[in-house]
Amino acid sequence: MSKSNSPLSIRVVSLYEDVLNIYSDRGNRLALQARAVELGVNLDVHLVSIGDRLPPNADLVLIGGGQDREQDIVAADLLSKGETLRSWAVANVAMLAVCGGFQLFGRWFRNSRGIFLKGIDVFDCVSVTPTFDNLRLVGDVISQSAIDGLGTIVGYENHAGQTFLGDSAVPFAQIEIGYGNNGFDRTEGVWRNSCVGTYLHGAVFPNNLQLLDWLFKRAIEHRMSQDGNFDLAVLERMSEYSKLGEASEFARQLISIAVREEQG
Amino acid sequence: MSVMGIFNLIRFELAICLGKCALLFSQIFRRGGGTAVSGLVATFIQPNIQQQISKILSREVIFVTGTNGKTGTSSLISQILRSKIDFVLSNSSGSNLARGVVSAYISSLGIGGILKRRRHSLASVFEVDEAVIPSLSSRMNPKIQVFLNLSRDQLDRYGEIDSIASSWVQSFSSDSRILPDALVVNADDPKLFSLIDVGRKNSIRTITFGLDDSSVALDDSFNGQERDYCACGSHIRYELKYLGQSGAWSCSSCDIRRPAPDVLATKVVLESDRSYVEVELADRSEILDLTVHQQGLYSVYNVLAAISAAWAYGIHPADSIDVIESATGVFGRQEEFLFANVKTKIWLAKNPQGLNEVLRTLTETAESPLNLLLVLNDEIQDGRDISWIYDANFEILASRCKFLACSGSRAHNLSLRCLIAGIPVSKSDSNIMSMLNFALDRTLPTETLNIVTTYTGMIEIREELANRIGISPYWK
Ligand SMILES: [Zn+2]
Repeated sequence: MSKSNSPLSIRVVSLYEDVLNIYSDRGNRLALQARAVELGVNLDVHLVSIGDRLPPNADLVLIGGGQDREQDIVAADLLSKGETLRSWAVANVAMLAVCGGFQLFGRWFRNSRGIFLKGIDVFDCVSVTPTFDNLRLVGDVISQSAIDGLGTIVGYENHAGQTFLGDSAVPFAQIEIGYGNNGFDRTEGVWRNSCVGTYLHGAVFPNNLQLLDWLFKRAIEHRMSQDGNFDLAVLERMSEYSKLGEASEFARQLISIAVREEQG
Repeated sequence: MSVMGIFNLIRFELAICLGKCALLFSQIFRRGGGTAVSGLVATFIQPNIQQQISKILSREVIFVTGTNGKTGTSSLISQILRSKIDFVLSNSSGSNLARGVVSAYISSLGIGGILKRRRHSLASVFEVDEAVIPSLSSRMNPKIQVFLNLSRDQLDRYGEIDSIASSWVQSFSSDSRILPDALVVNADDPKLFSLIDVGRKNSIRTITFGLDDSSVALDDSFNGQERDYCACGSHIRYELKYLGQSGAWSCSSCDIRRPAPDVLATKVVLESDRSYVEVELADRSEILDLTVHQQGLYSVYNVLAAISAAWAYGIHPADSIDVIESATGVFGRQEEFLFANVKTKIWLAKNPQGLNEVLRTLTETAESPLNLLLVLNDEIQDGRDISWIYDANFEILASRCKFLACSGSRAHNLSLRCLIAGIPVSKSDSNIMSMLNFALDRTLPTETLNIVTTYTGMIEIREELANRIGISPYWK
């Protein structure tokens, strides 16, 4: 993985991968690693789980979704890391929080047994699981990102919790097909600084390489500003032809066509 | 007999007759390969039909459930039972929902079978979908229940796997009348421990099976993707892990651990076309040596489960060996087709644990670089959500393939997955027939083309291959 001739090394923290991985969000890290190889950027990946300490700094943070029980266990541990993660979010560290991770990055979350879990306040949102029925928001999603240039974002959602954004929060995308945050207001996910929260699996990075690149670029800029060493060639390579980018765009287009056809 | 009783009986016979008609009709017009519609029709006419069938079968019923290996294990159990019993009913076509049981019963009846069915010694082996177990158990009250394993499969349909495990336990706890006479449980899967617990607490005969051979344990690259938890809340530790979440496990804080299996494989040797297994029985009555003509550890677990189920039924493991050793491949699972000197082998894989085991078996036992066709469809039977491919370890295919082709309705996702794993894709196209031809063209005589596919892809490819060499494309 390491490239000794590359001066640029991006530190990635992947949180609770062994616990919150029932929806294959591990694919986000795998896609990031493949893209880093293409760009000739070194990744310094830290798998941080329950009881582990966060490294002193990071450029990109990943967290995925899990089942109720796993989420309970993670929530307690995540609180101990909350202050650091909040300060990183303010300092423009890039973050992707998916599904259960997205919920715990909000203010609080009420789970299916009616128990409140405190979140870490990276995002201004709250999540509630209805306790009166077993309604799950499941299916393909097509959305349009609020972030300039990202365009169509596709994915697969499968969640019981419903998320509502606070006044200061900006949705990551507008729902075209699917439920999104709560099935009511057609918002999907949340966007703050260099941080994105979303319900989309698939995994979301492989099928939306433009989102990966957007966050990766933010992470690279974060590293360069920390090092005071600006290597613009890397950022330029991002806009060049990429085999991964081509395959991702092809997949995204076919998914969009299939999902739109099915919806009539 | 009361008026209600007579009415019910007439309704039952009518349901069976019309179901039979539906079956004949679908066979004549070759719709859907056969059986599902008959169960649908019969259940529509008589919603209580499963209870009535269960009465006719006088509870001589075995249910087999789990995420992986249902079909293979059911087939083995049926074959063992057939060596002792006149007539063994099974739903081996893979229709494993509640209707499938009815369909199996109907399709087993000949035209005159309505009379025939009461005369013979009779047993039935049904593979039952994980989610259907609670409701079908309460309606059919099977004598023996076999639990193979539980892992992520089609989350879009099931929600979360924890809730499946607890629904099994709850169904037994809530109604003691539906407790089976015997439980057969994989001791190596910690998700199934609560069932062993239920069995012991209710003094049900519980036969456990498992593995004890570090030579077939997974190395670390396969380990630790998904954590498991004990009922006490702490996570499960593994001394050895064999496949998926099965292994020598113990709780990291309380004293719960993998129980000593009653049927224990103490030595396993995996080869490219067979496996050798040494089995020790808890009663120390015997040590059995057997050769399994299937590849991979799942087949070994299936064999252990089948031996245990037959034992629970009263057939000693020593009497199962001959059947196990001569057992043939199951429909579309490691099934081989030979023509023009090219061997084609179909592997079914529909979830990460299953696919990981297939890929491990292929890479560990291959004598030369692999000719590989991967097929990913997203019909309901395959699972609409295909994101699980990111939980599977495609990375181990790196530099192991002569060629790798991707197909199926989600070929584009599959080839993207391979690309992310750093594996070159020779060609990718959603058209399965054109990619099958592509792959066959590139497989030299005496070589093997391995096809790894989800369910509906298996049906399509199997039908095509069967047609080409002139055998029946349908099950049975
Ligand atoms: Zn414990």
